[in-house]
Amino acid sequence: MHRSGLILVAVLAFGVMFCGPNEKKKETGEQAPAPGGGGGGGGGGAGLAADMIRDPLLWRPDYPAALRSVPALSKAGETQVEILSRRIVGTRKYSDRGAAERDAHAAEQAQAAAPPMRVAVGSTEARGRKLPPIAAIDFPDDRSVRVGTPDHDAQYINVNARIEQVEQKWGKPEKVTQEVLDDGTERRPIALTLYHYANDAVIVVTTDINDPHAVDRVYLDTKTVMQTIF
Amino acid sequence: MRRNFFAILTLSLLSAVAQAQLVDIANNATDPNNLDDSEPSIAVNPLNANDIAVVSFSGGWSSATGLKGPVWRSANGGTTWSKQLVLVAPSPASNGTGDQNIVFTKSGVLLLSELGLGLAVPRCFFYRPSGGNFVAGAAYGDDQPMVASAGGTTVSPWLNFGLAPERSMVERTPNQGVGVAQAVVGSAAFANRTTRVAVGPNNQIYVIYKTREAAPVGNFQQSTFRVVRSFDFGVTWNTPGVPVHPGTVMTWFTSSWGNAAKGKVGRARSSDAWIAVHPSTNAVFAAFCNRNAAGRGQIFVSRSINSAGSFSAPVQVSDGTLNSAYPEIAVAANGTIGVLYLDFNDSGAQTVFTYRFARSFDGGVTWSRVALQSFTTQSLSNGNSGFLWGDYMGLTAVGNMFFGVFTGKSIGRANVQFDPIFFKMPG
Repeated sequence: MHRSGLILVAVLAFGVMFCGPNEKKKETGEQAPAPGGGGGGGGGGAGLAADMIRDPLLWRPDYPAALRSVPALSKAGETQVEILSRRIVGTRKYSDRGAAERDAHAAEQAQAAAPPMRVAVGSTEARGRKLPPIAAIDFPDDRSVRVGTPDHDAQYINVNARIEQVEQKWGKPEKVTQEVLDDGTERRPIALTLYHYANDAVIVVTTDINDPHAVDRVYLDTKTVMQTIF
Repeated sequence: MRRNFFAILTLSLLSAVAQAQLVDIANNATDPNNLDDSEPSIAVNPLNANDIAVVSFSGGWSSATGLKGPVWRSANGGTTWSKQLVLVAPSPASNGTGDQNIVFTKSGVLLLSELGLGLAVPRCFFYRPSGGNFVAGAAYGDDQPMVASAGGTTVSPWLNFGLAPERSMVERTPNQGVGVAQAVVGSAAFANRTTRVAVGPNNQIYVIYKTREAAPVGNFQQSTFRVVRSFDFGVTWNTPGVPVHPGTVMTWFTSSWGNAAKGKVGRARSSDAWIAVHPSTNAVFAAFCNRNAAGRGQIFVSRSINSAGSFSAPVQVSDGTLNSAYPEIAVAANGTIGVLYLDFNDSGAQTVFTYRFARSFDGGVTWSRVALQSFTTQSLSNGNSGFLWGDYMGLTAVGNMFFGVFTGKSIGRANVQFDPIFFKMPG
């Protein structure tokens, strides 16, 4: 039980966080729709999502290679992936490591026959960079078992990007929520702020660890990535 | 006569308050992102008590950008502070600290223990000075690394979640973290937690920890606080050690310390014990929590005069009227004992939290308490409910002076928020 993550969502629009640690996710302050609003997985938001997925503001040179793993992770059942500075992981948390290993194996097999990008992202060379094998991993932020790549020498996220730049380019997020990552130990919890775009197809995330305005990771909806890129 | 009594009492109280020189370590220039600066630790250079170092959650580190983690430093006894970015990221995968502690060696060398966020176990590191910065040694351990210096050996108690049940461990290094070795020090009979360390005048090492002996009931859990010792620089220990109180206690084990209906809450699962040693007599003092008959968690202190072979009957430090936790204890050179702790009063519309400093001038028999600072969480702009100030504060003594730090209400900042607040009090 101590390894279970703790999710806490608070209303940022009013600058108030006032809920107990066991409180489950609550909807937060709705903000102005993003330009080209609508749905992420379908509708007008797909255009915004496609643009953000390809936006160099958010990404670093190795990102296209990470993007190429999305079809494999999608085939393994992931509906959302987290792209961090040096790894890509699915958001599903497994209670059974064996199940994670089976899904990771399926993803790795799918990775070997990854489809080509219909919409090119990055250079041919960048798209061709090799990823470490997809595996069942212990995700250190919350000690959950996930399917994804281990930490490795890569640059996926533009760690110099700031949320103000994202908002300037893509408008205010549709909503802003908070999520607290507790790994079940007495380690400090990690507070994430999630900026939701294109009906959650793209979620830009910052943390309270250092600069709360700096982009730390991005969540992508795998279905949207498949529809817009592959 | 009565008038004189009250006059003296008033003067005493005013004097005590005046002695608590509160300084906000952070300011708008050093904390532009209004971070909560939680879970602080403090170290004072034994060769120069004006040289003080504090760590708190006040910024991250990054190999990708070259950003280094912060250490707060004062060169004038805590009057003014600078934020020095000197902690080199231990790994490209880590973006900041998840737990930390700080100590000066007897020869005035600053050392730290750090848990690297973003890392799988082993994820803790000794940090040592290097070229104006501090660099990580070999990886070890799992959770809540403390640090202490015993002669040429540096030790770091930590909690091992990889064992079942969870176990208190001690890492040791003869070379400031370049090479490390570990020992299991906690009882295997129950899950351990709250592993804290103190070093005696002849490098005796004492570690306090608790064994969690039943399922939590409400916010409390039946536990035993024990002290283990090592007389050979952490190589061997008298595991499982000796209890510091008769029977068992009901101590805090909660992720909702406070009143969630009346403000944000902290967590107090490993915020219930600390240990200190008299710098010349080697008397060992254990501070810990136990619930009183009224159902309130209180702070107690017990003493050992035989190198933690046995402990005296505990004496209550807090006054019994409010729920209290987060004890830190230190002993001044003149024998005065100091205990920093936090209590809360939820009788009004909003929970009022108060940091208090208690001193005993008679070896722990009687205690006098001073309120350092009170606040409601509603008055502060930051702080994540369920964590807030962190798991512990900082307290140490050099000579006859106590030096402390807690995560409290900012002083003199337009954006009222959690900040690291420094104080010193005479012993």
